[in-house]
Amino acid sequence: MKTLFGTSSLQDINAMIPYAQLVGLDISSDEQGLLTILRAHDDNIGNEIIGAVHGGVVAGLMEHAASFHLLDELVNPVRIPRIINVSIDYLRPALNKNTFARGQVVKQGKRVANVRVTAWQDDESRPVAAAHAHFLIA
Amino acid sequence: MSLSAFKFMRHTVENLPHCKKLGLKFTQLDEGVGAMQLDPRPEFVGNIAQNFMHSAIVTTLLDTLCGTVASSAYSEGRTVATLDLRLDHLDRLHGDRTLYAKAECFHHNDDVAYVRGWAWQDSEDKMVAKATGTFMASGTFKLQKEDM
Repeated sequence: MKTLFGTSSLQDINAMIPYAQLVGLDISSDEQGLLTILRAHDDNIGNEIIGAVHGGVVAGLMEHAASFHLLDELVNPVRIPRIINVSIDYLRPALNKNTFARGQVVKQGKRVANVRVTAWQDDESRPVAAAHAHFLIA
Repeated sequence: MSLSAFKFMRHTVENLPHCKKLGLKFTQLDEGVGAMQLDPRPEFVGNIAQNFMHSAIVTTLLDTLCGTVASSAYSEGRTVATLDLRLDHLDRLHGDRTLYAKAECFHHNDDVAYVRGWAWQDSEDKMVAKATGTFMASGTFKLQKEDM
């Protein structure tokens, strides 16, 4: 993040966030751009019957991905984006394996940005969750 | 549900791996209503410079509580799956203060339970987050125990 965080990369910033370390959130990238990864972790289970990740951790992935994808795409950021609200649709159980999330800034206005996030496990075309969130950016 | 069924439900949820890891505790659980609290820990922080908790912490608290309240709204106690959850993040979460939450199921039918929840740190009239969740009801909560 050029001006706002000096020369720190998004990975550096993520590494300093205690919550990201607690649940195992990584910032990576592939040929399509930034990728947020929630690592498989026994401590993240919220449903022992089917061995699914806690819905709150999935929500955490969505919120975290939304803010990092926004940071990645923001033109001239003047402050760290602050989340206003988020709405998460749970589409399939997220099992205890790596979960990937990608964000898309639908609109960057003067004060507010609208971001969409999709999360999947094995197959990007079979999402486990979808979310949209608003952030205050100025 | 009987008193022991509520107790069993509280115990089961508090001991889910992630709930146990965070230290989520019920302070109340009755038919269609409940309350929880979560003591602060340094690992919950999302903004070190200002010592604010990550928004996902209050989301997890309210997701857990709203889901359990949806289960408890059914007299026979049903397992539920979250369809969606909307969170309004109203204020910053101070990294050194306990989070409190309450939730109520404001409507349920045979298939779907609708729950609202809210969270605060200093006093209940100064909310830090509000949640609305929709849950699909499936099997009975007791069956889940027997399945294990």
